[in-house]
Amino acid sequence: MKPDKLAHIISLYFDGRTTLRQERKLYAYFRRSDIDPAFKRYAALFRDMAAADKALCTTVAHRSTLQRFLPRAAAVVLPALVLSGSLLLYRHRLYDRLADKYEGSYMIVGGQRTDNLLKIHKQLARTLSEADKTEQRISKLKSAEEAEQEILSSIGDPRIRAAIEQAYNE
Amino acid sequence: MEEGEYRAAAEALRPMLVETARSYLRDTAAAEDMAQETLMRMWQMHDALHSPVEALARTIVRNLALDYLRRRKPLTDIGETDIAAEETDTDHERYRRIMSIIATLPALQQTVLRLRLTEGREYAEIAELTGIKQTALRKIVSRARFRILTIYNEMNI
Repeated sequence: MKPDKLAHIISLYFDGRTTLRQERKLYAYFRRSDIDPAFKRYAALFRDMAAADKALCTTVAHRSTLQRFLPRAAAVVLPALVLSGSLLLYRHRLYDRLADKYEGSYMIVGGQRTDNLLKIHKQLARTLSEADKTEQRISKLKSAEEAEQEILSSIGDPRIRAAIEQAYNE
Repeated sequence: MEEGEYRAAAEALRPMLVETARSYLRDTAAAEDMAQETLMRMWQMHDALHSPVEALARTIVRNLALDYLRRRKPLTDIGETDIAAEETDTDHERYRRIMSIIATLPALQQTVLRLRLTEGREYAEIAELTGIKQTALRKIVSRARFRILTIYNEMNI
């Protein structure tokens, strides 16, 4: 720092008109070993002030690092926690719904029995769907047969009944 | 701040001050001393203060507690303090020296200077804490710094 600038800042300092930044620059200057001889009489005072300010700087640096670190960590960790929690809750509720439908069901997968509903529920759903369709087909067939029998039994003439029965069977 | 207003504030602040000091010192008796010291300092500058003063009181008691922890003895008069100025002084010794000297200043100068030096607060923040205008604060700091410089010159530090 040039002597005239240093003299100016020192003057401002003792007038209480320096900024914190100027004060720290002043303290930093007087911590050096090559102080301008014209200002040596201030050296002890500013070095002692620097020691008190250094304590502050250490605390503030640590806090700033922590303050910088914590929000960033929180920005990463919190969404991950929320997402994990949501996924866990979703899986738990899905399992409850699957258990309501398929409790007790199991499949043989790769030669091993598995009753993990989360893994086998899609295959279970397909199997049950096919079974439903088969049942519906059988149900329709039964209805058709019953309808045929009803028509046949309403026909009094046996020759006409036999002809219609033959037509059903063709 | 009028005397009546100060007394009411002091009564309300005392439990908080003891609790704050105790959180640092883990010693009820020492915490009560710190609280008392804080209220005494605030009384000494009550003319210049404006309500609310809770934040300022909390800051003062915290600083006193931290000083106590660093030194492990009550604040002393400058005459009892060993303030030899060696080039090999460590930062810790320098810190003790300057804080001992600041402790001899009038209460208001002490408080404002600590807020500025050890807490690095801007004048605007100190004005908000103390209710004192910034122009007045700068004068307080100026007087305090000149007083300290005089002490250093007198003691040939």
